[in-house]
Amino acid sequence: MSEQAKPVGASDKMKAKDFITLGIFTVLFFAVVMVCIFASAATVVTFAFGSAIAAIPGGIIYMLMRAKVPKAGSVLLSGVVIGLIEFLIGAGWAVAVGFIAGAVIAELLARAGHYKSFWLNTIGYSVYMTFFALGTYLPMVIMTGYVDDMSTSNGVSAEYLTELHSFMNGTMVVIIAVVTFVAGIIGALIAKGVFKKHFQKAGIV
Amino acid sequence: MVSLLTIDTRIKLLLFLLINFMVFGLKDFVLGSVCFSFICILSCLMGQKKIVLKYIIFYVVIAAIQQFCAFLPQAIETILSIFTLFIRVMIPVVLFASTFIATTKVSELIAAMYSLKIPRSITITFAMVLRFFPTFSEEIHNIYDAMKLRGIALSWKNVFTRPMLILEAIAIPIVMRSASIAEELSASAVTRGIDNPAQRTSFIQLKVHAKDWMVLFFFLVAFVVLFFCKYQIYGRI
Amino acid sequence: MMIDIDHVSFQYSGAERENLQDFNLQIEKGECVVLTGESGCGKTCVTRLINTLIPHFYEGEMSGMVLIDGVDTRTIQPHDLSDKTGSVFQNPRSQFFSLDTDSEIVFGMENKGMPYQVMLDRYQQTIRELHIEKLKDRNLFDLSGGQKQTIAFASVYALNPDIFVLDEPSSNLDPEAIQELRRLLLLIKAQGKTIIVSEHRLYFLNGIADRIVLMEHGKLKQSWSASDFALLSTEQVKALGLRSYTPTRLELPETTPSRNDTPAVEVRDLAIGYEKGEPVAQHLNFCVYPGEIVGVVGKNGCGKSTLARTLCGLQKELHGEVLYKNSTVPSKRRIKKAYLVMQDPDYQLFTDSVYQELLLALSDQKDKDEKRIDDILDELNLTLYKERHPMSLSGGQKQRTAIGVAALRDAEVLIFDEPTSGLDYKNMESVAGILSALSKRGKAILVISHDNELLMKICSRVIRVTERTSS
Repeated sequence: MSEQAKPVGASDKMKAKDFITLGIFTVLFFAVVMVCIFASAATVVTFAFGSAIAAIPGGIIYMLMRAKVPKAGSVLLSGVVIGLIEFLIGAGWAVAVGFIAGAVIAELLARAGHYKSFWLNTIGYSVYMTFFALGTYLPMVIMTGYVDDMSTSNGVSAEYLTELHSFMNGTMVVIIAVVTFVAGIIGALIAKGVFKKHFQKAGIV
Repeated sequence: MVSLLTIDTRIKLLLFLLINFMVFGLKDFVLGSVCFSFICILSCLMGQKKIVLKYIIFYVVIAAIQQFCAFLPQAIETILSIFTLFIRVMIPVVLFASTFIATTKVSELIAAMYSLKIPRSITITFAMVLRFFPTFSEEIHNIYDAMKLRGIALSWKNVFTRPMLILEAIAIPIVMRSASIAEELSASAVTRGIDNPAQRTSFIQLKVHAKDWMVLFFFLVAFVVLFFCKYQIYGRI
Repeated sequence: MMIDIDHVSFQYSGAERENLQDFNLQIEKGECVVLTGESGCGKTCVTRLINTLIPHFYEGEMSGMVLIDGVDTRTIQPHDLSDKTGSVFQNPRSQFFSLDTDSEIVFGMENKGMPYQVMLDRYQQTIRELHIEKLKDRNLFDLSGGQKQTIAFASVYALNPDIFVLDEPSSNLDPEAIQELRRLLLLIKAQGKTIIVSEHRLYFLNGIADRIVLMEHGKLKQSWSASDFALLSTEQVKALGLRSYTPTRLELPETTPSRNDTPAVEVRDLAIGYEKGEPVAQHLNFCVYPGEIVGVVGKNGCGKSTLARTLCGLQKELHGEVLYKNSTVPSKRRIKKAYLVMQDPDYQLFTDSVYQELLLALSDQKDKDEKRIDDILDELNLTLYKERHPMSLSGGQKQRTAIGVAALRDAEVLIFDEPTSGLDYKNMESVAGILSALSKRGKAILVISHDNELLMKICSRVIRVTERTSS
């Protein structure tokens, strides 16, 4: 054989193969998130941390997507698409914006590590899920409009409620954000374990 | 009998966006309910009477719970009222989402996305999400059957004594199956030219008619009028 | 010539050795060439060279060149050739991009940017010429495997390519669907299309193929003209490791043997199906004795899988009784009495090594002796692979692992759903051997299959499940 074998088939740009892979794994991610959110709706307290609960198993799927498509734009694309899905099922524009904004930051972080750095991907994931949490919970506690509703239907002192709301706003949101962020890190570490035990051994990453 | 109103998918998407903004700005009971009733009427015209009825009942129940909150101790009252208010505000959006899903074929939605010049990367990925959902459901059922056969069904006993195993029994097969389906599906799509950068044409011919514009116009007017009312009542937008 | 594969060597990224070694093949316009050989011989690799998935989709290292009608495949992209080379793959369920038949048929044309009127004409022409009016505007998920495969074919046909590449297209099809595939191939052959098919099942290509090419370890081993190949005797074909070139007839009795001992499982006036709808099959009466291997046959969609699921307790019966060792067992408690090995082993393997998988199978059984695992590994020829992750194994090895799990269960009745679909002759023999060994140990075995070669090899009789009744 006179010719030298040359590497073929790989590409730095995302192509249909990557879009399809991301689309399919987004379904898995979405399913995990939805199951966790529904499960967490059992009590009000756990519901507030639904996104944190989702961040734990979600890490496996998220990290899989990063491993399968380590190319420019893949993080942003998955964020945009899942945001679009959430919007179309009626979760509201805020959740969509949350995912997309989180994805922008996660994309930049991932890019800094050439899409292959475990810790940059992990922080990106945690940010992504935290923004999802904010997108889900912030609208529930945003001030304007609540006052209107309260005063027309309850007749309770508007000032008192305003004070209470702003207190709950600040603390609750910060707590949820921090817990979700930490859950994201835990989720990524679990993913690493699963990768080592299974996916790397099986040869799919 | 009024015949079924069908609206071009692209106009439906615009409506959806508009409705989202409407409900977020009109959280009070009176204006919010007016907005809700418009959406109910629209959905009825689009043939979704059964769904509309369910949502109206739901709306009334949630509003009643909100009123009931006044009688509860203040701590619980605040949390519950925030919660129920949020649900009540979102009901019109979820109703329209149900209507949208019930009246739009997937192929129409994808054709609409291409015609709105949404980047191929987003449209193809999104189309895949819709395409894979039913397959995902089938796969999960098969996986669960396999788990039952091996005595690892989702019972309380199993969840507490061997949670990792349950996780593995679900996660590993679904990931492997998804990866292999992704490869097969994309190979098939690639050989049929999906990566062609040239302009794609559509077999589904979408057309916006006068009635579509009229519906959109109506909601735009409603948007302006309701916010005007809000300004009058509360002194701000 | 139409296709010129010139000294091509290829190795997939991460593969241990080359999949193709200095491979050469020339195919003329209008020829139908069948590539065959054992699993892993490289025939799928060759099909990928022709539809340009190698070098543009699969990652690896390649040397040599492929010319399609004079064009070097390295200089173009797959979409440039989408109307010249069309491909049909082996899994009907994971080939379609859309959710409805019409969108799928026009998919390739839309990607090509063809004007609407042209697409409409071609669409109607495709429906007409392939006689698939009944499949217009249908939800793809409602179709049978064979119908899905037909739509995949139609989607390619609509682009009117000169070359049709089919990679094990009959793997997941029942005999009726295979006949339909044959009809479609005859149609395009008559139109002068160039056809390349990689296959294990050869009989349905008898009369269509012009040349049979046997591959081994990535090399071309031998090639015959179709007429020469037809002259080979059954033994000669088997000696080459290939499946029969003539259809194997199913000549097995459908009567129950008269025996004195208690049947392992018995079914009385059973009606099966889903609660909401009509029964898929009813008035089923049969029994299976320990040590028997009974085939379960019938057209796809007639309830063979539903029957298997009902026997295992995965589904409730609509009417009638299922008895194990002469006592009626309600569906909730059947799961321990019968074990089902599903068609796709991917669902049933989830630990990180073959050994672990078998250990897990043993963990809730009565006899937990770990030595049983070593014995089973030996019988299944998997001892070398015991530390390997099940998902890293080949299709045949995964199937054997799944069967190993079944062998370690206490269940007296084992049901196998299409255990040899897509397997080459050697692997089929291996499965046959294992099933025979299991029956000798006293298990009652039911094999749902349309692989007549397997059924004739190991079954003593068959149970036929037809619409509405059973013999």
